[in-house]
Amino acid sequence: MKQGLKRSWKSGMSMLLAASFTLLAACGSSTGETPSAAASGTPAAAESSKPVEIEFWYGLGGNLGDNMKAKIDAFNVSQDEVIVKGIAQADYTETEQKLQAAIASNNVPAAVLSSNIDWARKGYYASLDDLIAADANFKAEDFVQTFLDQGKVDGKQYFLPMYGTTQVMYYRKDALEAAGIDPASLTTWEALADAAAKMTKKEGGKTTFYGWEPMWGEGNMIDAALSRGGSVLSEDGKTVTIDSPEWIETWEHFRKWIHEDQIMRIHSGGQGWEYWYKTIDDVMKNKAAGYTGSSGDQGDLDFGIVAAMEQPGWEGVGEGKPVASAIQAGIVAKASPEQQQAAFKWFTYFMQTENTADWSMKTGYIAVRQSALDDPAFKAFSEKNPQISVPLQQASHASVPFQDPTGGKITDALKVAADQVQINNVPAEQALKEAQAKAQSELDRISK
Amino acid sequence: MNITDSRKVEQERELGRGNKRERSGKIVPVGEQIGRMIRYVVLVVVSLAMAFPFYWMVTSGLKTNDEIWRFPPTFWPESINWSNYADAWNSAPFARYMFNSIFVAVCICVIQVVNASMMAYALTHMKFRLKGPFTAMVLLGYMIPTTAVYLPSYMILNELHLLDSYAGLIISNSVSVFSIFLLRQAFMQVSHELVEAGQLDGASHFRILWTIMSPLIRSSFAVMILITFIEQYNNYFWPMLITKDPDLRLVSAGLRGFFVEGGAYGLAWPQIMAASAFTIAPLLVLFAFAQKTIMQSVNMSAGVNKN
Repeated sequence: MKQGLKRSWKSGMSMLLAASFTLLAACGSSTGETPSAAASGTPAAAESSKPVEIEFWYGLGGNLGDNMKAKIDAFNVSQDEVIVKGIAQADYTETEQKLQAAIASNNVPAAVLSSNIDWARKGYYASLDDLIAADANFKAEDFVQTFLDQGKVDGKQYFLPMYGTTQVMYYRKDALEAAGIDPASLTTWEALADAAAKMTKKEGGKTTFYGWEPMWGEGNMIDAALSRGGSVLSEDGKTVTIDSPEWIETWEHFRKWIHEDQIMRIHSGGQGWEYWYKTIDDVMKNKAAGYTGSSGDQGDLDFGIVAAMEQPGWEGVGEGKPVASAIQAGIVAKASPEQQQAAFKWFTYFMQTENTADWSMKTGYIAVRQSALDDPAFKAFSEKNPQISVPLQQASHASVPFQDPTGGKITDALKVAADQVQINNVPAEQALKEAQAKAQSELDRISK
Repeated sequence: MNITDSRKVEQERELGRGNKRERSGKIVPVGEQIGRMIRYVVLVVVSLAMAFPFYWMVTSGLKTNDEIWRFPPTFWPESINWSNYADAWNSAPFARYMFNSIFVAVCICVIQVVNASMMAYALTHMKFRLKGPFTAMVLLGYMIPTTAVYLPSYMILNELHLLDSYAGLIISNSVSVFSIFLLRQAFMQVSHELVEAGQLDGASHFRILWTIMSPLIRSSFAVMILITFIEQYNNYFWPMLITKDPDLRLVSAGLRGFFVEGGAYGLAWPQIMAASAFTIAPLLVLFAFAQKTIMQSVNMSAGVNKN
């Protein structure tokens, strides 16, 4: 009987829990208002003699994870006020999943390598404006502005850029040389397409060597459309403009290159990042002349064989304006004021010129400050490894990543359209018109 | 039906089986022979199809990365690279992960055997007020998807300071409605007279449960333990959510971590395949030894099927 009671408690509880789940979800948004207010009074807080210990959650592994560990250790040694305890997750998604549970249970890390605009609006993240204002050494003008702007939500700074990423072009030096093409001349997509056609080798109607391999997904086709002057939304933010001539012409070019001319190829599907590495593999194994990839690929590439260049623009339009996005970190609102202060200290350390430059050299990601270009170590490094400064230079004239007001529905529509064009050979006009209709109805729904 | 009756039935069944065996020795008509052959061929094909992924995983672990990507694929590795297994084993603390998984799963099994059988006993052979509604309530708990209670359960564990600990991993999984129902079905097959006989002889409920009932439903226990063990060994999301110390990772989370770190997001397939192969090895060994019981479990748990 006793046991029976115990059981009843447990199973009864599970029912109660399920019932309370919806309630909790609702509570989540309402509790949001208070913590950020509590957090704002922080900068004046007196420093105690005991070091403040904070947790920093980050979803990085491999080379990036090792470098992060090294940076955390270096920070802990460099001063005695803050101790950062790094806790690694498998990836960014896992960090967010765990953070969600942590916030719900009020047992939070102070610093996380994660950002979410919705959560910032709901007050889960602390606004950093007061902390920034109190820090005389915080030079906002030195940051890559696109990166810093991304962390602003409704005019307030919520997230700080830890490092950036953008899509750049990697080409085989030998392939271009053999075809007599000067990489410096490839400043437009038209020129690149001509070069790709020249380098493509075919046997019996089948391509054996591709002139170029764009990466699967909407990412680099969006980049190319933006470079041509397209935009996702109209200026007033009320119309989805992904079916404008700029978009259709751009995407139609890609469809033609891939399916009709067969001078470019897309690896798609597979497990996880399989398509990504298959694309890289093709280039490294001399099956393609080059590919469009991430600045973060630099760690995996052999620069004896390949070199990097910026994304091209379009003839008569100007230089490329691809998206450069920052991987951002935030401070959780439910952390105590001292912990928030400590977390901010850790972030500013990570973003110091020499540290962000060092991170860039070791990982290939983009430094977040312009002054990294003047850092002596970075300068010396980029003389030997010219590819390292390509992403940072591109970032200086880059577009801000599209922040989807529908919470991802517009991006989804673009993703579907990209698949239609890249894989199914659907005319760009049809694919983009369909995507526009879907995206517009989603946008209308939220603006009502 | 009393014990002698059931034994008789059992004996008859034995005899029936014996008869069948005898008949199979006789000459079989050609038509039936062909039919049987077709059946065997189909069975062989199906079982090969089932076994193939495992074969592919183990042999891929022995290939080089280039060989894995090659088309057409090779069915037997050109050169056997045992070093992939050693590499994978050494590049992440898999021994630790496997210990964690096995330790946690065994603890959970032991706890569940005790509490699920007590619960099932109470639900089937004890009389108390509101037994019906109470049973229904437990059943209702079974209908709630586990994912829906992750967050509240997390908050409770946090209040109890059990996050990020073995205790949390074990306690949060120590009650399973599935186990209760599996055992409840088994207890319902045992005639109530046995319990009454025990009571007449002055045995306590506890005694009746452990010395009379348990031996009778041994096989159900075995099934329950096996299913629970396999489920807990494979458990991924929940343990991942409630732990942050890498030393507490279970094997599935460890494998995922390895896929990202050591496997470089799927660049080093041989190592990933090798790691996958040895992480499921304990389950394969378990299967080899408990084959019969696992087969039975398919039958037994049919009434209370999971998910």
